[in-house]
Amino acid sequence: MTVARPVVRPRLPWWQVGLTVVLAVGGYFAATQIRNELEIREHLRIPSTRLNELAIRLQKQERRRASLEAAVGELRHQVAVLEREAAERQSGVARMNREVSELRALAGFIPLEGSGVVVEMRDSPRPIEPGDDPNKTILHYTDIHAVINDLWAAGAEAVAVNGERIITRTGPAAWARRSSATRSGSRHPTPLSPSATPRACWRICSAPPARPRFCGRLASRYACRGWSA
Amino acid sequence: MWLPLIGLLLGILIGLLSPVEIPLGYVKYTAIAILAAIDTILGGVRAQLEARFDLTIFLSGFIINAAFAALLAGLGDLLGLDLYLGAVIAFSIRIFDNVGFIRRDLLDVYFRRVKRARDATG
Repeated sequence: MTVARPVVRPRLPWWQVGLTVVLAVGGYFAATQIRNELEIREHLRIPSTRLNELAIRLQKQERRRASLEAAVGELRHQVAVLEREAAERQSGVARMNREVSELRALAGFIPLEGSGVVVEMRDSPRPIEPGDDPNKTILHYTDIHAVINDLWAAGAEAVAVNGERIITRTGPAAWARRSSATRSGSRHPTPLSPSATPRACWRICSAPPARPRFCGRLASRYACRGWSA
Repeated sequence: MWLPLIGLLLGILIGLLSPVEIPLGYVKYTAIAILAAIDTILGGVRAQLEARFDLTIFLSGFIINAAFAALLAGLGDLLGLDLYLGAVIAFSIRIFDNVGFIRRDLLDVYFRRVKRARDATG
């Protein structure tokens, strides 16, 4: 008679199980660590033990970059302010140059020529009747003066009387002599050649918008030549 | 002894193939966990050779030692001190001690076997 023995399976020793678990965990950590280390060395070209040093350097560089960016922003602001000031100064200088140019033109320091208006003034051709006041038929410097004033008021940039430039300092005697109109207003004693005919010429280089207004007024009061509407 | 080797290979494979990446700031903690694992493994082998292996002590030693070392490293980071070096030194001393004891135990086993063989033949 044989007695059947129970089948005894070999039991796994506990120490092997525990060792297996710990080895698996340790292997996982070791493999991950090695992989990380290789990546660090590949990308950063330094060992991981120098990461702190690298981080400190990076932070220093970032702080320096931030301060430099702030400095750049400040410098850009200063450049913008200076550019604005320079533009304002340039515009101011340009305005002053324009004013100086206008004043120089008025003072006669700048030669001007161009299209303009020519106003001819002459003594009245009407014969003097007995008892008439002859002063009413002859051209006086006051008449020329009035026309010159009208031209200046109309915006003329330059005025000439018989080719003589009239400037701010020109006295009536100067152009009166040239135009043969006497201060006393008496008729000229000798016949005048055409070139010397008492004629007041105003060459006007005014701006186009002012010209029609001026010429319209002028045409209504004086015989105008050299301008066509 | 094939089971621990399979576990080791499995852990290495998972570590190499898994997409999980440990942030650079935690590399130090991983290294300490590895040291704790090595210390625990060698301690377990030594305990087995000396026939006093206890699974609870073995696993709890691994977990507690690794956690305490990580805590020490974190505290060192907070204080600005390399306190994790203390854990590294302690683990290193224990590892060398365990290696020494394992070597002696293995030699003892070897010499005992040789002596037993001589006695059997003599």
